[in-house]
Amino acid sequence: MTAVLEATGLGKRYRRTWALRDCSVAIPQGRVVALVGPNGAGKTTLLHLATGLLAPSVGEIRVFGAPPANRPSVLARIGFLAQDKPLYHSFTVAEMLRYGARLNPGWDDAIAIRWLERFDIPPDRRIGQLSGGQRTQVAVALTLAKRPHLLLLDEPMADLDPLVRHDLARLLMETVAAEGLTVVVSSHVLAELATICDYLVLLAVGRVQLAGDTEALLAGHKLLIGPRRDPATVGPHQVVAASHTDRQTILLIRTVGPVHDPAWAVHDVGLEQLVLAYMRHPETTALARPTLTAVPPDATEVSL
Amino acid sequence: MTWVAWRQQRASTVAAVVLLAVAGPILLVSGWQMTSFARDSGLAACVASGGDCQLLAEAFGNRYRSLLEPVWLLGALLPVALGLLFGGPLLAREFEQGTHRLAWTQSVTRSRWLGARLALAAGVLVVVSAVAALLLTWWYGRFDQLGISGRAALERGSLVPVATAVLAFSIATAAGALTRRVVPALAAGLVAVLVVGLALNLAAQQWLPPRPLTITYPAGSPSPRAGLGDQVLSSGYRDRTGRDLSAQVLDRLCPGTAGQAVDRCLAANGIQRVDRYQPASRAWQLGLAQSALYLVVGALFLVLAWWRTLRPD
Repeated sequence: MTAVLEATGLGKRYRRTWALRDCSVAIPQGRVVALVGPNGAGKTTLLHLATGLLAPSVGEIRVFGAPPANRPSVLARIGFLAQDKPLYHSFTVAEMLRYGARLNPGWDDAIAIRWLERFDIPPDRRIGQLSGGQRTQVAVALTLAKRPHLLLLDEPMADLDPLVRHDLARLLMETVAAEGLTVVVSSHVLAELATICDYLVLLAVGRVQLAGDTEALLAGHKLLIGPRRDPATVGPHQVVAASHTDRQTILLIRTVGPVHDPAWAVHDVGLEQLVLAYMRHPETTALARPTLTAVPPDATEVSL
Repeated sequence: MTWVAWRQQRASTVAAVVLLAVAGPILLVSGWQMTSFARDSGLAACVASGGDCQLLAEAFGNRYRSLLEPVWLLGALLPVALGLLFGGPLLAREFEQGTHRLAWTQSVTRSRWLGARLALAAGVLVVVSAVAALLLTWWYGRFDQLGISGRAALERGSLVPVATAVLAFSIATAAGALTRRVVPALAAGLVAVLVVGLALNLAAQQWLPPRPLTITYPAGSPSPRAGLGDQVLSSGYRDRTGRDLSAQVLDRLCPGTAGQAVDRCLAANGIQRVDRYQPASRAWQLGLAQSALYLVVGALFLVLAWWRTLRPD
């Protein structure tokens, strides 16, 4: 499968601080990618680099095989929903659609109109008179009617109430499934993405901490529960997080082959549990498969 | 893109039309009043017959001279206001509301987007400020017809208000690209327009063609060019040998501030007065030179705005 979005050694620095550093990811076509990380991890920076709004300080980003900045052929295939859902407040909804139609060769008015009808947004209303949630829907309509091949959504659910949030997620996924789009959705709340994504990119303080197919990630991690002991004794596996009670030790590990030791009860992990464990240990990365047998020494004692 | 640029320009255009709708009638009504006064008092007929109209002209002047200052101020400020109105929000509002992220992720290049927005705004601005310039020219023409030079002819309409508006527009646009906020862009733009405008006027007087003429005549007597509407740029005094005299030397020679005694003293000492001036007939040439200078400097500010906006962050 070809990569729709490919970053190599990508970094972005604002004056002295790095917002994103040494980021290498390849996002395969047709996936729904959850871009997850705590606030300030660099999610927005990565999306802005992918749309060409920002220029990389180091490294390279390619979207559909070319740097996206200022390239209409690439921009036409990207649907970007910025975090603050910028729209012209003095425009009416209909004028906002006309704006999209005038600036995008692949524009399909029917898509936008259908979307707005679903959410009961009157086309003659000014953007400034709409609620925050309605504005989000207009912004989404504008993004979808462009008929993009790659959707980049920066915190799309943030200002929606739970019901609309659910509707939007479902509708987005229907659209995505029908069109075969690649989607990258950022969020600091994994729960809203867990059911819809099949690929995960986890950012921590400007670095990619974890990236891959969710199924494969879940299959490659196990929760071990056994009598209390030193985490270093689990063999070749990488300990992501460890916690201890008086008598028990609970480990979340990244497996290297099967776990043979019968002392451990081996459990599957959930996506949210996995992400939280990594988020609590931002220094643990799981990018390349470790070939060494030594156990990373960095598993600190924090409850899972 | 044209529709987009126009839709974003609409509010400023409406505001500009409102400004003109306020200023226009003031000029038109006072202009018509002057015309009818000149006709009714017989001044117009007198000037047409080529007679001595001194008294009638004075009556006219007494009645309407007080309008000159406010109209001059209007003529100076209206183009600046129009330029700021069009340029200040052009980029600053996009950055302030984050809509540049919307605009720059559609399927057009930033340069096409910016080019279209600037071209349309500048185009509308030229039309609107040309209307203002025509109104002002017509208004000053009421004075000219009667052979009364209200003010130095150089202040009259012509191209200068249009060029002033474009200069103010360019500066405000650049300020918007740099500050990325509407109010600071307008404030910085206003200050910059005043400073740059003043500097350019001084520079134009110092270096731009056509160079001023000089006339030398006996001090204490009226200038042979009095009443021709010249713009006198500077005056000085020379003694018989052609040496320039400083104010202190003159003061020692002929003490006192002014008046016939001083004039007689100056004449008795053979002091000559030297005026550097631009004749009224050069109004168009000077206006063209000044406008060209404004437009060149305006273009530089637009280059700055262009560079700052297109440079990726």
